[in-house]
Amino acid sequence: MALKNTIFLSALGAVLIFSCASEAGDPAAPPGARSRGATLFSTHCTLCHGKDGALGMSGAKDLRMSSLSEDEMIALVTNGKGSMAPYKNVLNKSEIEAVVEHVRTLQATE
Amino acid sequence: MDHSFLIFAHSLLRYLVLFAVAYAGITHLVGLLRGTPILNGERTVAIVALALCHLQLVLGLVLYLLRRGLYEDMAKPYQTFWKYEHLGTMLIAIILVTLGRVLSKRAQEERGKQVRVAIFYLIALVLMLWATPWPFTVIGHGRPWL
Repeated sequence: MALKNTIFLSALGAVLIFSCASEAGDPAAPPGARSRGATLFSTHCTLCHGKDGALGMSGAKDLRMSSLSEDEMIALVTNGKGSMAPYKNVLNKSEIEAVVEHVRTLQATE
Repeated sequence: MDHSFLIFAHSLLRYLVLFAVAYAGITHLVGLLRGTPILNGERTVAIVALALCHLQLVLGLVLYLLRRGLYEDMAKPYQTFWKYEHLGTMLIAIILVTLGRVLSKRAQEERGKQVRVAIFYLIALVLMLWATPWPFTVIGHGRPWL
């Protein structure tokens, strides 16, 4: 009986998690409220760099403290360096430029 | 909060989990096909795999709670993966491993024990491999192997 209850509760938990998935990404804010660069940054960069660029996971640099120029940042995101993976096969040129533009705003707010 | 160590531990433990689940599933399948009994070592690996799965689940749940704020602004497929698919699929896989072990323990015959571990563990292994954000996948791009 205890096993049946465990199985039932476990299965119920898994079903609930997946049923919530249909509501994922329902934007509370209207489209366009966030910049393209901010969305791309959130999608591809935040797990290591954090929302504010300072999380520092897996050897990620603090983006707020970066002294790189815009061109150097674009080159770094495109080709990667050290633990930073290259994004030339994931993001196109304009997307990388948008991400770098967003990173510059993180520095500006500091 | 700096949770680098938890991420490293969760990342490293994945290889132990995958190896233990694969080893237990395959040895039980081979024993089943050959008609040989389960050895103590093989049974121990099945138990160790179960323990590692549960430890990995705890680490994963802690990381999920600590990092769920990072998923909010992601593009939909990425957000769905991190918030629901990874967690949900791994939860199902760990339930299968648990069921495989518990049902195997209850089975009366050797063959029945082997069938349960082989089937449940190998299905769980496929789910785990599928839901892992490997660096060569689109979702896992940029993530280190460890």
